[in-house]
Amino acid sequence: MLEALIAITLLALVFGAILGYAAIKYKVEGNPIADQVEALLPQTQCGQCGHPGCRPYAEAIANGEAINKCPPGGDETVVKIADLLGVEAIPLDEAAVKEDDRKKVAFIVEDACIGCTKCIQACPVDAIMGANKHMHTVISKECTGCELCVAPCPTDCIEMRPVPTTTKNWDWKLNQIDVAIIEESK
Amino acid sequence: MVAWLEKIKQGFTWNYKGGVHPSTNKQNINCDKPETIDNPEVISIPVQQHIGSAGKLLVKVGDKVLRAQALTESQFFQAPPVHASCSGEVIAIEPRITAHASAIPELSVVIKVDKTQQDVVLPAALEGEQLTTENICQRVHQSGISGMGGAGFPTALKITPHKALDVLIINGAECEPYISADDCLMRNYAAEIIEGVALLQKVLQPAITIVAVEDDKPEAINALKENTNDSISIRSIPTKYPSGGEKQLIQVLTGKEVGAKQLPIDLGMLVQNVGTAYAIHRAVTHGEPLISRIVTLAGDLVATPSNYWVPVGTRVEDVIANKLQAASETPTIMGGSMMGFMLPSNQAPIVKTTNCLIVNHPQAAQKESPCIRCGECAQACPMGLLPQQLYWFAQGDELNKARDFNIMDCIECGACAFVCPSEISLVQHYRTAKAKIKAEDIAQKEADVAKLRFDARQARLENDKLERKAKHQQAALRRQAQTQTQADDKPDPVAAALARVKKAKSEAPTAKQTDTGEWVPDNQAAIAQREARKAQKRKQQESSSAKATSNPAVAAAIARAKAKAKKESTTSDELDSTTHSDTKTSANPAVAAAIARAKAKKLASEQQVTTEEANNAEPEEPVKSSANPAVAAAIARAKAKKLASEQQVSTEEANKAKPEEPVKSSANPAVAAAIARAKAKKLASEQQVTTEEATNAEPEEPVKSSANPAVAAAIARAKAKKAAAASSESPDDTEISKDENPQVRADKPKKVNPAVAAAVARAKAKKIAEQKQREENESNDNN
Repeated sequence: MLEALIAITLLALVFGAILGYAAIKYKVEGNPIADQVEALLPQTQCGQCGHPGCRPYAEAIANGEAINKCPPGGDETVVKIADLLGVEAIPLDEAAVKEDDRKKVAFIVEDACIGCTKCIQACPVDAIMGANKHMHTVISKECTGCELCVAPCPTDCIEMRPVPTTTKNWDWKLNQIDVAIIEESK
Repeated sequence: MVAWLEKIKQGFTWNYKGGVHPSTNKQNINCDKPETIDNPEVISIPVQQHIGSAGKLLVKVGDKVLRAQALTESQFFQAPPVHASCSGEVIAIEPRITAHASAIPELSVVIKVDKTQQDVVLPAALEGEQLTTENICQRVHQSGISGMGGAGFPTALKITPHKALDVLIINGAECEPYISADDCLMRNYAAEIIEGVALLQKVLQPAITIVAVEDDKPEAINALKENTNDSISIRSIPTKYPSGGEKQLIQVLTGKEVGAKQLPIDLGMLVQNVGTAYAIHRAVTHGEPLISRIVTLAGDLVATPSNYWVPVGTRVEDVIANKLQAASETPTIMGGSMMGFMLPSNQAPIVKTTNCLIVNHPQAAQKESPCIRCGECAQACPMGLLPQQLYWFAQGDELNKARDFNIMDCIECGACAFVCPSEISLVQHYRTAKAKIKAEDIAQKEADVAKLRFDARQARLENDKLERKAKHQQAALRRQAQTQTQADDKPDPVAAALARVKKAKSEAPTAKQTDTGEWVPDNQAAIAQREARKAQKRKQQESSSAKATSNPAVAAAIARAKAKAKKESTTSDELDSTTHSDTKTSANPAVAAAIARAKAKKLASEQQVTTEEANNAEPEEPVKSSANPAVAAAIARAKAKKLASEQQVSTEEANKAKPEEPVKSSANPAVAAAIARAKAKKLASEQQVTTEEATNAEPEEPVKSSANPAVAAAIARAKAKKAAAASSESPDDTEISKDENPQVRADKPKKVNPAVAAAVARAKAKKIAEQKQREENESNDNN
C-alpha cells in the first residue's frame, strides 16, 4: 500500500515537473489560431468586417466572432476558415455581398487630383505615390482594392476599376474549347 | 552513373506507364519541300510570343520596316525580341487578337506588307574563333528564338550553361496526330538540323547527344542518319502518344523520371526541339532571325493537306485561303487534335510556337455521360495521376484536394479524355481547376505582399510617432534648460527691472540734456516701468499656460493649430475674394478649375455644417415623443434622405441654371465638373453622417476606435450597411408614428435591396439618383 502511494506520488512529481518545464520552455506566444486565420484572410486591411484590419478580425474570429464578414475574401475564404476551425461554413454576410465581385484596384483620375495627400494617408499598404500639391498615382500592382482611399478624396477623383483579364490570368472556360476525339487506330 | 550513360549510349530504351495510340492521320500529309505562304497583305506580330516578358518596342506607327528587322529589343534573355517577317509599313501598334483560346487581344505590331521583301542587313555568320558560348547565346537571343515545340521557352535562357549536362536530347518525336511540321523539317533540312545540334553541343558540352524520332517517320530517320556525325546518335523510339512530351521522352531515352517541381536540368538533361535546332543554325551561320516556321495544314476540309513555310504573324485566314475544299463554318484548331485549341477567330496570327492548323468538318457536340469509375483514364495517364479523382475534385471545386492529388503535374495531354468511355472532356475540367489554383496562388502571394507592406507601414507610423515624441521631449528639455541657464546667468528680469525703476525714481532727474545740448523730458523711468510690467505679464502667462497644459509641447501645438486656423480662414477669405474677380479673367482653365473646386468645397462644407445642424436639430422633437433611439435614428435617416433628394433636385436645377451662377460663367466644363463633384461629395458625406449617426444611436453596437481615420470610416460604413440591411428587413411603414411599436423604422417607403442600401451608405450621389429613379418607377408601377 505504502509502496504504491510512494510510487504514484513520485511519478506524479516527476511528470508534473516535466509538464511544468515544458509549459515554460515551449510556451506558445500569441494566439496560434488567430495566426492561422490571419493567413487565410486576404490582407486588404479594408475594415469592411467592422475591425480595423485583418489581424484584429482574425483575433475576433479566434474569440468566436462570425466567420462570414470578409467581403474581399468571399465565400472561398469563409469555407477555408470553416475548414480550419471545424465549424459549419455559412454564406457570406448578406450586407457584405457585392454586386460585382471582380477584383478592382483604385485609379486616380489625374485631371481632378489636387495633390492633397489624403488618399496617401488612408492607404494601408502604401500603394499611392505622390506629394503635397503634386499629382498622385496608384501603384496598381500593390493596390489591394480596399477602397479606403475613395472616401477621403475631396474631389472624388479615385475610381475603382476592375483588373483587366489578360491571357495570363484568363480562366479556361469549360466547353469553350473541346478536344476533338479521333478514332483509335485499328 | 557511367553504367547508366553506357546503357543510354548502347541504344537501350525504356518505357513509361500509360500513353495511348490514336490514329496519327499523317499518312496523306505532304511532307515534301514546303512551299512558302507569301500572300498576306497585312501581318500582325504579337510582341510577346514566348514565356517570359515582352521586350521594348523599337518601331512606331508609320515606320517602314524591312524583312528580319527587329521590332522589339531587350538585353534580358527572358524577353527574346520579335522581328518583322515581311517588309512593309507599320500601320498600327495595338492590342490585336492573338493565338490564344481566350480571344483576348494582346499588343501586336501590325504591318502592311509591301511585297518588295527587302531584307535588313543581316549580322555576319559566326565562324571559327567567334563560336564561343557567349556569342552563340547572344546571337540566339538576338534572333528571337524561343522553344518551337509548343511551350515557347526562351532558348537563350535555356541553353545558357549553368550545370554540367549529361544528355542533350533533340526532340523529333512529334507524337500528336496530324502534326508533321517537324517530320517535314527533318526530311528536307536534316543537314541544317545536325549543324544546329552541333552548335548546341558546343555550347552545352553534353556527354551524350540523342536525336529522338518516332519510328513512324522512317524518311526523317534516314535523312538524319545520312547527315549525322559520330557524336550525335539518331534514335528511333516506339510510336506512342505522348512520347513527344519532355518528361516522357526523357523517360523513354534515359529511364529517369523528372519529378514534380523538378526540371530536366536538375537531372543533368536538356531537351530541345528539332525546329529550335534548325532556327539556331539559321541564326548563327546565316544571321537570320526566327521569322518563319513550318506549319502543317491538315484536316478533312483541306484539299491537299501539306506543310508550308509561313511568316510569323500571318493570319490564319491567309494561310487557309484557297486551300479548303469548301468554306468552313467550324473554328480552326491550332495545334494538334489532342492538345490544340479552337481559335476564336481566323484573324489570329501564326506565332513562333504554332505547328499545325486543322480544319475539320463540323462535329456533333460530344455528349458527356456520367463517369462510371472504370479507371481507364488512370491507366492511360502518362504522368501516373488519377484522372477520375481529379475530375471529381475539379467538379466539386475542391481545389486543395486536387492539389494534393498533383493536378499541377498534369501535362494536359488528353490521353485520359481519349480513352474515356463516357466521353468526358476531362482536360477542360483540369484546365479550369488549374487556372483556379493559379489564381488562388496569385491571390495568396498578393495577400502576403500586402501584409508585408501593411506591417512595414504600421512599423513606420509607430516609428514616426516615437520619433516625434522624442523630438518634442528633447525640445521641452532644451527650453527648460534655457530658462534655467537664463535664470542662473542673469537676475530675475522682473526684479532687475523693478530695481532699475526704483533706482531711476530715486536718483534720476526729470529731464536731461542730449548731446546737442537740448533739454528733453527723461522718460527712462517710464520705459523701465513698462518693461517691468511686460516682463511680469509674460512670466504670468507662461506659468498659467504651463499650469493649464502642463506640457509645453502641447501648448506649442495649440498655438500652431490656432495660427493655422487663422491662416486658413484668411486664405480662404482671400481665395473667396479672388475667385470672384479671377474666375472670369483667368486665362488658365486649370487654375480656374482649381479655384472653383476649392470654392465649391468650401461652400459645400459650409452648407454641410448647416445641414448637419439642421439634421441634429430637427429630429429632437420626435425623439422626445418617441423616446426610442431606433425610431429617432430612423426619422433622422428619413429626413436625411428627403433632404438629400431635395438637394439632388436643387443640384440638378443648379446645373440647369448654369448662367446664373457666377463661378459657372467661366464657361469651363472643368469648373462645372468640379462643382458637381464637390456637391455630390457633400451630399454623400451628409447621407453618410446621418447613417452613421443612426448606427451610433443603436446602443448594442460597440464603436471601435482605430488609428486610421479611413479605416474607422470604413468600419462605420460597414456598420451603416448592416444597419441598412437590418432596417430593410423590418416591416415597412411610410408614416412616422409616435405609436407604441418601437420596432417600426420608417426608413424607406419601398422594400429596399440591402445591396442598394449599402450603396447608399457608401454614399455615391449617382446611386442616390438611380435609387430615386427606381423608386419613382416602382411607385408609378404601383399606381
